[in-house]
Amino acid sequence: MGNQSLLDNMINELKRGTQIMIVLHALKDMQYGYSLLQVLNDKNVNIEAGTLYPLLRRLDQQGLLDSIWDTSESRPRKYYKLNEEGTQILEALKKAWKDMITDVNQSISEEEK
Amino acid sequence: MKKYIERYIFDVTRRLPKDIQEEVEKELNSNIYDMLPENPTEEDIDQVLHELGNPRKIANNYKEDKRYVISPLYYDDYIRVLKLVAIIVGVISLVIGAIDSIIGVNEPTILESIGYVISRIVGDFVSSMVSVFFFVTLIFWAVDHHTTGEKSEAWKLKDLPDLPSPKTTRISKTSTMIGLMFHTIFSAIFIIFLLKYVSVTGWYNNDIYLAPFFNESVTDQFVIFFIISAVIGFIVYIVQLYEGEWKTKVAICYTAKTIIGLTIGLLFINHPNLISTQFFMSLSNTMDVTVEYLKDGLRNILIWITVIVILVSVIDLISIWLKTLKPKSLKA
Repeated sequence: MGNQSLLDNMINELKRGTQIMIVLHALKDMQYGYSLLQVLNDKNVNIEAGTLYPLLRRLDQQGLLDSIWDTSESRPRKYYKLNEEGTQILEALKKAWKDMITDVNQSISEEEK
Repeated sequence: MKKYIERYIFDVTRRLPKDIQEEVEKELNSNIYDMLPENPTEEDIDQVLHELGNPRKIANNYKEDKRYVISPLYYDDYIRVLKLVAIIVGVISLVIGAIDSIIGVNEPTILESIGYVISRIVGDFVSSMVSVFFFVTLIFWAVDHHTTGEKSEAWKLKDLPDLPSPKTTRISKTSTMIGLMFHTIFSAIFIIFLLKYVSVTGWYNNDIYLAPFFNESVTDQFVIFFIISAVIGFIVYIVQLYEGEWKTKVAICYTAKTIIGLTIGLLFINHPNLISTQFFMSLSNTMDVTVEYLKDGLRNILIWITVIVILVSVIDLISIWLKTLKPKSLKA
């Protein structure tokens, strides 16, 4: 198909909007960067490492995550977990997402108008 | 081998603000080693770093506010203003360059003075373009970075631009500008030649001056007309740039310019005494033919040149008037 790359771009564009919600949800459990990447990949969410790590930093900066450096092991690791404010935001996001799904499905359904 | 990781991290962090560099370095370092197996080979490192992506790209992801010199919001206006200012300043620089070089040229030969004129005019033009680029960019940068979001939201209906008149053919600004530049350079060179180098242009034999090529008394009469014609040509180019489309008045100016230039040019080359008698005599001696024979030959060539030049000009004028009166595309 000649428009394959165009289609891929559009699909990626669609996915990108949902990434933050998925990442926030996955951070209900405490994770470090790479473990989170693996969790997401196991769930078939393919977010690139080069996107995820900066995103974690941004969410942390926005006060939605608690982060802590674990220095007990030989190599320090930074752990992240959703905090109270992050949980609220996530719930609001989820609600908006569900409303959106209903509206969007309605507007693109094949049935009679 | 580990150096690659450090170099990669450095390439990312050097693009970031100072205050987050150290923290991002620690994060990246930890993340990269998490992604690597124990005792990684160079291949492993290569793969992991490529998974993370181009350092420029990941650094851009780390930045909170995307930074632009000119943001996309202002980019179109920026380009438009840049073109406009470049044209105005470019024209001024061509005028000053031409006048300056006509007054200031003092080279021993016409060839050297041609070099001087071209380098002078082009040099002035280029340096003025560089300053235009610099200052317009600076001003737009300042406006862009000191306009708050609210201000750029506000706009008035009155500020919307007027629609261009639909039934005209547009004049390309770039090709007009290039035309103007060549016009200025060649006019300046030709006028300098007529003013200063006619008397030394001629037939030399082993550095001995045999005969002047032109009759100086004839060329002197024409100098003022060529200057007037050059200035008129210059003004018509400005009119073309200013109007930007083939309106009737632009076509009239263009026609007038062509006819004036054509008349002066043809009168000049067809002037019976343009080429000096001494030159004809020297030539007839060398070629072993009579002066009359040479003059007849020259007259025949000149008739052909005249016919061709008139034909080309007429075709040019017809095409201009067709563009003006019956524009092809109606880009509204």
